[in-house]
Amino acid sequence: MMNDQTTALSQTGDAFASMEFLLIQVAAGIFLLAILINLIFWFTRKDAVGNVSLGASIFATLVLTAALVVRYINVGHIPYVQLYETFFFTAWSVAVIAVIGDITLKTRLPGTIANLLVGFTLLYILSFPETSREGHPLVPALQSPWLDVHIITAFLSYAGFAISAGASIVFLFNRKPNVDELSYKLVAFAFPLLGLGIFLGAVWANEAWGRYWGWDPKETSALVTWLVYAGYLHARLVLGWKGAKASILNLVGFACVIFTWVGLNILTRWIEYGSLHTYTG
Amino acid sequence: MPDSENNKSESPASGPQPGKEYGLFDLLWLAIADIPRLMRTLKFAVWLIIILALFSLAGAILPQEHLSNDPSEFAHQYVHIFNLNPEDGRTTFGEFLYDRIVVPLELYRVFESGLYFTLLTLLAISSTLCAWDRWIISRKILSKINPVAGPAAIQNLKHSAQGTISENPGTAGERAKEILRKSGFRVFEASDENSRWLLFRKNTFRYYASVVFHFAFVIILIGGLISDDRMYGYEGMMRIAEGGDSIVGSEMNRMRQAHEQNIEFTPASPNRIELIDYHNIYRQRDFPGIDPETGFPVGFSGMPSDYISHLRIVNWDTGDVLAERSIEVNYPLRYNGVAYYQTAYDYVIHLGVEVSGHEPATISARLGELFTIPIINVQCIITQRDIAGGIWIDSDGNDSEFPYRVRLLDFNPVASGASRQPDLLGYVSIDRPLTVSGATIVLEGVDEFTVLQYSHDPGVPIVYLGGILLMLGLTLVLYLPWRTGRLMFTREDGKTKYYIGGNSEDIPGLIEKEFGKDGK
Repeated sequence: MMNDQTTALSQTGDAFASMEFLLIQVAAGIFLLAILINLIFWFTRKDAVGNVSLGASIFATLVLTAALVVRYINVGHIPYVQLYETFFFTAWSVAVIAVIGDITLKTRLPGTIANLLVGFTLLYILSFPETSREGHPLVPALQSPWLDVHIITAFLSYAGFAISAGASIVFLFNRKPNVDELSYKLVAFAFPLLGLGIFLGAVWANEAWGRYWGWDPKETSALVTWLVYAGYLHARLVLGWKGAKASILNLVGFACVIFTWVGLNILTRWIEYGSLHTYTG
Repeated sequence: MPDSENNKSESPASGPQPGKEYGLFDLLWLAIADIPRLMRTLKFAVWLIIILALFSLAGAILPQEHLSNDPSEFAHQYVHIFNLNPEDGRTTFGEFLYDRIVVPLELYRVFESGLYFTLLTLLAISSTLCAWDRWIISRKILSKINPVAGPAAIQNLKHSAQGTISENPGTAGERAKEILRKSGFRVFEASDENSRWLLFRKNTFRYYASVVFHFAFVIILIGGLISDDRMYGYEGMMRIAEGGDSIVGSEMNRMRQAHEQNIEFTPASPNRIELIDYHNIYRQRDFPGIDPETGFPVGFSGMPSDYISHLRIVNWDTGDVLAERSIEVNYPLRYNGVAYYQTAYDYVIHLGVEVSGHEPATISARLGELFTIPIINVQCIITQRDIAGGIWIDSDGNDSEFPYRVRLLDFNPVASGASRQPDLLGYVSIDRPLTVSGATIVLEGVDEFTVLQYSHDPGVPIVYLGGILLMLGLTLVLYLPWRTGRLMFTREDGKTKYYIGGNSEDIPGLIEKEFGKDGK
């Protein structure tokens, strides 16, 4: 009887997994299509085309959100445990921040950058073998509401920094002051979120182990990233840095983000050194 | 939005004066006297942050050995990274990096090193000085209210506009004042016979927010210092058997100190912490069922869904129960300034072996310990992944007892070098013995232990306060739109001209919308 139950359960799991896979495929398709519409917009500069590209981004983001919900129901937690899940969740965060950025800042640049990042990230995770996409139960320490908010704020901040870095790269080519200003606005948005993410992580660690700060490699590199962006904001607001100098500093900050996000994972595996935060799979 | 207004250094000029003779002592004194000025400069803070970031990065990348002062103890960890010779730990490349950089700079224990502590202290001082300077500057800016400014000064503001209207400056000024007040601005005014000036501001308390978060950083560092085990904090681990007890956390700390000072320890407190009951929880949500072949949860990772300790703190002199709680990971027990966290669990597993023609034998083994099953001489290690048992909760929420079962792996092929993987011997549970090459292995019992982390950390409220202030300050500075602007109406050649400017692009629009743009 237990065997039947097991099979039935895994069949439901399989149904969820294939629905999630299908939704990600559809979302990836729309994101790639949106890149095309974005390109047409940048060549024609027609508002109507811009609105269509925004509509495509919003629709793709909704489909990706549906995929996220399906996975949440299937595995019972926010997807951040494996490398597959962290790419998935980051792609979703970038898509959400870009839609918000496009609407509030009245520009199509965040959307264009995000469609490129998200479209190709989704293609990449679709290439993962099925075993790397399987969900795993959370260890008891990770079952905390503090952790959920910690993860969400951290990933949204990564997303903000990613789009900002994209804008800085665009600036280095086209040298338009409004693009430089956009990259600053995104850092100003993401910086407090990263701070909040670190703080909530500390609160959670204190609730779980009675130690709010343990100099874990991930904690430390998140702190370094935050300090680099603090440097960027000081350079910008106090010293009046703008343009290329500020853009390069912003890219240094983003290199730290990449290091904190996945670089550390690769590095700790390479030098066989443990961290509490390494992703599996 | 650069703060051009508050960018100027308020410090008095110092340093050597030209044309004056200085002795060595004078120069030394000048250098020392210059330190406070240097420490409040942004350049100093930036360099400090860069150095701190580099050290932190080294600490994040290189293996760290906490609470140890001896580099040789874990030099073996660096063999791989620095290409050291495992025999004597030296090669040309490794020797230089390891001996000249890692050891002198204490990169193997960055976060406990005096250098790192000094850098953090300097950053705290620099942040305090910056916070103080910002406080002074903010007060100066906000208290200096002079609405009068010329057209050129207004046009120099970041976003500005001008226009011509038919009204006289007096009535136009009144109308503009109303509009600005409705938009939430505080308005300050001045006038003479020809002109009317308005200075308006919104959300300018943001200036103080910047003071708050610079200071919040210092509060966090103070909290961290108080938490440190070299100051007022302590922490450690305790292992208690089900039905057993231990001295409380504060006594554990005293015992450790006594041990370090080589003096005899006698408990000062009659309180003991008792483990009434311990159990693991398995949920169908996490493990999709039990494999009937093995009796193990399907997809078992070695970790139950939850593990729960029912703890009680009792005064053994009076028998009073002082605290009682079932704790699990993320839900600790707090008593008398010490928190007890569920950290891990441990088992002692008792196996019996029966083979016809032999006396029955028993063996007890701790989790992770290498042991040999008597008579059949099989070497085994039982890890977390090889044992499951506790309470099973199905998808409808019904719970049932899930007796312990153990997976036995034969490590003989690994020990003999024949294989890198141990062979599976089989599964044994309380109700189901395992038969291996004529021997019957029985699981006779499992002793459960809880592993608790105890921690006394008076710095936590201070760190939390600092964290909240930091977030509040940052949110106000970076998310709250703050506005400041100037407006002037003046009679020129029989007409009224207006000049408006401010720190945001929406400011000129406020007046243009009402009075019209120039040229219309």
